[in-house]
Amino acid sequence: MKFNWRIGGEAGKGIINLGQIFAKACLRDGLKVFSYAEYPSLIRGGHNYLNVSVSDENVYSHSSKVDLLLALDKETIVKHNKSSSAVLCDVSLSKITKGKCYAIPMQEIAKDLGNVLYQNIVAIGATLGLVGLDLKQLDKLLKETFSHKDKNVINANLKAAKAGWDYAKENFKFDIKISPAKKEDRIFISGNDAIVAGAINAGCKFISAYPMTPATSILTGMAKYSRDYNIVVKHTEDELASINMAIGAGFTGVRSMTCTSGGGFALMSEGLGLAAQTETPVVIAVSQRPGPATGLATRSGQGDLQFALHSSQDSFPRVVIAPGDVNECFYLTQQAFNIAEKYQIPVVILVDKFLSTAHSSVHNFSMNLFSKRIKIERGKIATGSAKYKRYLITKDGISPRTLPGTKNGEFVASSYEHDEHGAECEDKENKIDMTDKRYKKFEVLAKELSDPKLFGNSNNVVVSWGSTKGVVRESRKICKKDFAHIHLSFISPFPTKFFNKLSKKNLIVVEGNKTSQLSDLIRKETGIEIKHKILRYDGRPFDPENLAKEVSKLI
Amino acid sequence: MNIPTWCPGCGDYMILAAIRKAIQELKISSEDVLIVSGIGCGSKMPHYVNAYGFEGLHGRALPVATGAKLANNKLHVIVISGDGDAYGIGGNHFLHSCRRNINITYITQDNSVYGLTRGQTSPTSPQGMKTNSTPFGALEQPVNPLTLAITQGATFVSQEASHNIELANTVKQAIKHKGFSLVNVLQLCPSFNKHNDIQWFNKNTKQIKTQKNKYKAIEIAESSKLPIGVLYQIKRKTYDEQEPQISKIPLVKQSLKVNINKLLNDFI
Repeated sequence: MKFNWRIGGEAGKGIINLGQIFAKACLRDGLKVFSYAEYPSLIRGGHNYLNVSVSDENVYSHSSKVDLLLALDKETIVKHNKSSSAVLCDVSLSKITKGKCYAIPMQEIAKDLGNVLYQNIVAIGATLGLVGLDLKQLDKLLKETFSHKDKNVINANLKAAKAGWDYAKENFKFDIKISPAKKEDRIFISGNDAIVAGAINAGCKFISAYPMTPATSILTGMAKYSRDYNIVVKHTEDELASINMAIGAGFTGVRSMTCTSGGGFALMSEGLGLAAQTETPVVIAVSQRPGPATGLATRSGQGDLQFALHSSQDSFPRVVIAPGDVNECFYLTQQAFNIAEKYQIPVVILVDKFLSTAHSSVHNFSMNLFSKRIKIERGKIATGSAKYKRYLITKDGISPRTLPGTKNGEFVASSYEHDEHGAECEDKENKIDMTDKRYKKFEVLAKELSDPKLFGNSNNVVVSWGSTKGVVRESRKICKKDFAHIHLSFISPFPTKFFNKLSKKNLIVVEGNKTSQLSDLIRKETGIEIKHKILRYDGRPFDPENLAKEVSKLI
Repeated sequence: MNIPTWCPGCGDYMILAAIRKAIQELKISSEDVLIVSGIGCGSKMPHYVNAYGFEGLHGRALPVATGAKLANNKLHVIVISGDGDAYGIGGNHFLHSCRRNINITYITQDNSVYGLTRGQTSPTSPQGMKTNSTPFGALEQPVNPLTLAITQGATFVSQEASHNIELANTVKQAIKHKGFSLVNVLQLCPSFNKHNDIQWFNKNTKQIKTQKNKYKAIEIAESSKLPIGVLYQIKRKTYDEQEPQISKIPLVKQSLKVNINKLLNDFI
């Protein structure tokens, strides 16, 4: 059983929040849910829509198929009627729909209840009525959502939901029926919120950042929980300040991070090098959107892979982690903090608008067995002595660090090339030793990491990175031809050895940029030239149906 | 310890001596001091003081210092920047640090010229000053660091000359002050700003008294003679004081173990 629902309307009218209430009602009925919204870069006007996929099986992405379109304005019908099997709308809009239409006097019902705005709740009630779910969960959610409001408002909302539900039950028949499933301890969470949860669980105590879509909700999420978890959250004057403050806090011994999108990350480039040169741990969450420059501020893309790998002058090792789903956002963020501190290295968490904002239902992180696997590892922290050298050359390249406040541990962290003590040093031998030392750490780290996961067994292998993981997984379910799937969560260090084993396979890269930046990376790391590329760079994520078609052409 | 690499007669030697003296006289342990700098001749200062140091990027000393102070508010954080570092490339951080009133000490080495890149115009160069980047004279009017600091919310604003024996005392007061404290040091640069020598300073500066009134202080800051001394000092809650998360225990001393169930309940 699967139900794909889409709600559309004018931006600024709370369409997305409304859709999420429906999604959460399904979650609380024990169902698996995935939701994803498209919205323009403006506050009022324009067109918003949200897809919600509900199933009794795991659902990893949205779908291009719409079983029921809830249209709250004319534009939604114009834009989405064609791709939808049926439309649910107010009677005033039914004339312009084509095909199956469920018209409800939503506005009239809402007006009778005292406010035309209640029509949105009437529509949600009607949706539940159509698919055969009861109002229990929705009622609870409405009470929670409007708990700060007047009792009359809550009651009117409940009445609106009931009126919509009753109307649908009495007047319509709908093919798809959903029944509540066995309740599991699940949460419904977005990528950015999962990064926030991961960071807090990892003991991150400091974030300095500047708002930039689609990374802003990491900053605001951390701010929301700052008093509960004793986190200092600094909305800075610019991204230059963000990265440098995070480095200052990391240097002092606090687990610290920043977050931004491509434009802000460009401003952080020099700071990234500073973290590498001073060997200061810092975690940078970068959520991509299409560029160049301001590009498409509220849309999705994967065009910053090579940028994340190469930003800042000269060569130095940096870790780039690209979580593929909300679970990975949670777990890999924790791993990012461990790596940053153990290896005293900058770590980039590379997501995109799709993963940052899409919500998935997953096992509650607090219950998940995996959460116990990640222990906080702080790396080598020294107590200080007369002979202490901050940048001591060691076998693994990692030098024990002292934290300010430690007696006999005083040193200078310098952005200049420096010797073992930290003093500026321009000797050529020292330059080689220090560069090699920084790369040595990276080699050791690469050995610590486990291989990527291979799903399935076939000569045809789709290679994806980051947010496309879920879409590829869904497309494997529906594709008529069989293919295997490798998802790369670690971009740097790159799993070269593992990849070399795949040289004989029919490899197909799927990614969201114009030039196939992952193929470039694979060629550089392995020499493998990938011929088959499925690329999308229209600012929208892939969808499973079209991807399955594209893949089957290449098999 | 490293040996300073400054020109003979450079004001940085006196600033270094003043910082050392102030720390010593205030009896602060070396491990509790963090000196942060950016890039410039004088930004090599952390290497010459027995303390923790961070020599960061050009213009970015203040954010590094702010992050460090918020991470461990028990540290005495002293920031040192040249006039280019402070008022040019780092100007934005300067004005936000003033309004933030973060409890750090900001010592600026203001010699009205870029030294490390060998003699270009700086944000505090007077209009008409000929340098190798402005061979026909600088066209912009100079930044007035004191007026800027006062108007943007700094709570301790002072100016000293690098060759003035009072410098150490002013630095001491600045370290003791709770809030963002500026010591703008009018500095000798015998290599690239030969015009502003000791005689010039003696003729163009005047000793002033500390003001509590913003407007009186600005009037003095804008007068034709450069004020010397603590120009402006007021009490205002510092940024770090207003963060309850660090009011009892510095962040760095707090346990990393948390129970995120409360957070996760929001997603059920």
